[in-house]
Amino acid sequence: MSRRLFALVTALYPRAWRERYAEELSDLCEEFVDAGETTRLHLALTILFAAAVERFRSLRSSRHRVLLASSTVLIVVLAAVTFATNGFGLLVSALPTKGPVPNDAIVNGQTDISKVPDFVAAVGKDGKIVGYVPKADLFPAPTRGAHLGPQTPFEVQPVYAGDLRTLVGHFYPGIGFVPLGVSPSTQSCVPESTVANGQSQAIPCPGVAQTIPNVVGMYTPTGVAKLSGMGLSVQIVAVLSSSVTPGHIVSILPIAGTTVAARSVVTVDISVNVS
Amino acid sequence: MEGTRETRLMAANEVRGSSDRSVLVLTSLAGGPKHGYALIQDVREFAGVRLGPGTLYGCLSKLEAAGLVEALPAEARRHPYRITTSGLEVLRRQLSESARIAEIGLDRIAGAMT
Repeated sequence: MSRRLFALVTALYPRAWRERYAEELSDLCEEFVDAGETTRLHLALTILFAAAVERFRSLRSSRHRVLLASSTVLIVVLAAVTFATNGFGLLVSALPTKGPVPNDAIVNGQTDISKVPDFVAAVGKDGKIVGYVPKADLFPAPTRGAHLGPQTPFEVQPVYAGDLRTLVGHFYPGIGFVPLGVSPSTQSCVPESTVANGQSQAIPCPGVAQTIPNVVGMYTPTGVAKLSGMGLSVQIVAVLSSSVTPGHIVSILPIAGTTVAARSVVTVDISVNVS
Repeated sequence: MEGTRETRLMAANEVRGSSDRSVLVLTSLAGGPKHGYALIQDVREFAGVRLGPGTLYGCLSKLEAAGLVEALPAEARRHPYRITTSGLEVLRRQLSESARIAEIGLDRIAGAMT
């Protein structure tokens, strides 16, 4: 607990009590917090109530005890509410969280988005944190229909400084972090590898053009594997169809035969059951 | 916190009539002098009761005012306390009384179950 907060909390103790025990209590609180026994907020609340009890004891002989007791109750209630609500929501704003994706957020290859911080630490080629990417850019919400598959993070993502407001550069697929003012075309692109049909193959850099294959009518896992195997990002949208068997691909966008840059996003509409 | 004989008597009566926390603190100190954190750990171990710093110092201030415990010189940032002779006597009486009541209660429970 900071000295300032401690002084505020212990102000309720009678002066004689404070002069005798406040320093000792402060040292014990520090030891308590250092040992991870409790949180500072919980500690502040418990001391506040203990101070109120001590204040009541000292008021027993006072002629104005009713008035003093009432004011003490009022102060305690106000202070408790202030602490519990972070000053009615005014003292602490809801600051976004930032940091790496915690290990427990990834289970069986699936990411539990609720455990991912608001801004995810982005690591440069030298292994150091270069900034933070908004979670919304890593895991965008579905634009239409139900988003059934994980978003493949192969799109350009903004990278912000530690203040989470200053744009410092972008992450380019196959290139990595490129600071502002530097053209990504001047950077070397490293083709990434993927596994398709049990064989490892390289995903070309965005400068390479690819032709989208026709996967319409295919069973979804087969069609998606074909697209993913080429390094294309797949975004799945569930649609109702009376003509296509559930679980099969209804349509894709861009349509088959279109030439796109490698690692582009292909939206795949799949047929679902009408329940 | 020195006081007159009357205030010390009053404080001692208050301690006797107060919650079990004072008994727990005195019991812990009966095993030897301890600073606040060690005292809290000890009480948690032998009684399963978790005292907070505020509660502990509430007890210690009452016990010290009643002359049942006394502060020892500080060791760095730790402030040890020890039980006084009066404290040992009050604790002995309190525990004997509790043991007597417990014995009566257990006898009655045994009678009710037969």
